[in-house]
Amino acid sequence: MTFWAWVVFLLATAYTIGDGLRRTAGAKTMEGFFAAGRSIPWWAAGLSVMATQLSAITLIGGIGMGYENGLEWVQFYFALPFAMVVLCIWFVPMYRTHPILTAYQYLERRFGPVTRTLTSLAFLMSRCLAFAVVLYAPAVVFAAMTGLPIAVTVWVTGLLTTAYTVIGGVGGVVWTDVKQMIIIALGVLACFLVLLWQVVGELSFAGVLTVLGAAGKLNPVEVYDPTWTAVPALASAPENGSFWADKYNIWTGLFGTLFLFLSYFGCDQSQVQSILTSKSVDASRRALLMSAFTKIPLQLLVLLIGGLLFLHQSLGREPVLFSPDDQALAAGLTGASRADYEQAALDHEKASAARQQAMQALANGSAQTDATALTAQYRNAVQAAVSARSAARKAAYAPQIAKAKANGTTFAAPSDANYIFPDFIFRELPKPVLGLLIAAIFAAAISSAAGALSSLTAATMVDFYKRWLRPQASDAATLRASRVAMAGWGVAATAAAVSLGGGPLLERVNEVGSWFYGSILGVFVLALAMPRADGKAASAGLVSGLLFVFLLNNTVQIAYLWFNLIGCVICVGVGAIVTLVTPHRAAAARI
Amino acid sequence: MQSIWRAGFCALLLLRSGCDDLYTAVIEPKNESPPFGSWPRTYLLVCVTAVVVIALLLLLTIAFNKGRIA
Repeated sequence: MTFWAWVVFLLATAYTIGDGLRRTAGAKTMEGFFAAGRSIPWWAAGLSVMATQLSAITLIGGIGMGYENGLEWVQFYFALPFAMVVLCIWFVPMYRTHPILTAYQYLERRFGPVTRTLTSLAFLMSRCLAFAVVLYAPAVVFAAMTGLPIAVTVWVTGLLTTAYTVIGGVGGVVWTDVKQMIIIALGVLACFLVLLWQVVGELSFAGVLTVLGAAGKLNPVEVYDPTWTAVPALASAPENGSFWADKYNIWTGLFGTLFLFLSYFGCDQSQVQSILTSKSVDASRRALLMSAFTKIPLQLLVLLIGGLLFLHQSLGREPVLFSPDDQALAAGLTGASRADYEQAALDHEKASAARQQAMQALANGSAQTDATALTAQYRNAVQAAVSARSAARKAAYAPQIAKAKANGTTFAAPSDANYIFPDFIFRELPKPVLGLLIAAIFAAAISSAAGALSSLTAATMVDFYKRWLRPQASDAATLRASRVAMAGWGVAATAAAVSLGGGPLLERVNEVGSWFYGSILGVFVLALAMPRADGKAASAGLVSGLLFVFLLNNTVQIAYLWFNLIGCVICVGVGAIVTLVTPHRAAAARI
Repeated sequence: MQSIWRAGFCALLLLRSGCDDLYTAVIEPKNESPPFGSWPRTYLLVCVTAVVVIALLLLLTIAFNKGRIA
């Protein structure tokens, strides 16, 4: 990084954190620390919801996904506006009726302490490992950007986040999120405009649409794929192209993620805390609806940057390997692996030249050539370049693959999608814009981490410490203990992120989150929709939902997004059955 | 069939809106007005906008996309 990039990065980061802390001026009570004194205006709560959800890896990985797979990932967000409407109608009044600090406190009023404790425990289990991922994943990219060791970037990110969250509480997090979201939006917009300017200048606007479509990257909606089969394959069997295993299509986007978003925004403390900090019911609703209107366009913008970056690299010189780690491995290759790598690099160069030629002819609408033939020629060249990059990565990891084979295991060369965007911004962007973008990525990382940290602490202190360990503790004593617990969570999660590294455990954490989300949502649905359901029914539903999803995950190949729907249905179903067969004493107090 | 669905949805929203008005009058006074006239209207606008955006994206896919490259 150059001097000016560092200056812009440090100034932007210092301003966002400093101003966030200044506005909170030190929280003195539990209500102030965990709910910002219910004083946050709706637009600040709305920006905080967006910033917490947009993690650094969503930003960098989203652009990488746009580069490799086009716009298909936007389908993941299709259900978000509908989920927000449901939350505004039923969940927001439910939370704002009582002076609660965590979502799970409501469950005690409705079902009793066991259900509250079980649900809060499920939240802590799903969130604590996710917190480590939120810290580790962007730190890998920062390490590549700055040249610092990964452990150093993890500790810097983790400790900085912990420090300002401990000082400012949720209020500090929300006001910092506001600035961070503005910086993220500015960074993303600047990058989009720079790329659009460069690519449209070469290909024209209509040409950009034609070429992106021909490369299969204008695919924001997938309704049907003729290769889908109706029956899911067993977990031990090879993939059979089942509909149920396909992650991103309009059906998972509308139904699977509807339940994911209902649970994430309605039952996950990291998001519910934003609802609780707002001034009123209506302010909470406005905050949620802000996301409903802006999330799909923002995500589309991120993916479009990936698509434009693909065209930009196709016009220039696309690296055969994006990750500095892969490049270092390739540089150390010898013998047959070296020859394989060089052959792959040569194939990639030839395919890139053919791709560039066909792309320009297609975009300029060359009258001499048949458009269908030109499209086929272009698609073949794109396919050849993708295959050559994959072969180069395989050659770079040949020693690891051979070692795994000798041990009777398998090793797949990791995707380098997360390095596509950093590679571009370092090579091509003007230095002040580079500093702004790195500040945006850093902001995305720490805003998500801060949201996770404050929610973990709130659940620990309110649902366990204050509920079971020290119910008589004064507000001031609990607040002091909360700051200590928060620092403990921050240091522990940072240490976990460093020691777990990039292993397969971390890669599966987001998937593991979906095992919990559906069942947790089911408990809240029982609370709202079934007045006769009691704590026994809710606990039985929660445990059954979790167990069923866990079993399903280990027996059949099914996209994790469906777990949210399945977990919720099983939890509500079992809860309803237990309610019906249990002798009816008195109707549970409807809250 | 479509009009039955529409009527049901509107009835649900209106019913809920009535409950909300009662709730906010008793529990917490309103201090933020609904963004587009009333909450049911706002919710309807969110849903309609989402459907329109998805439909436009579907048209974009049909018009330009030539299929997935593995």
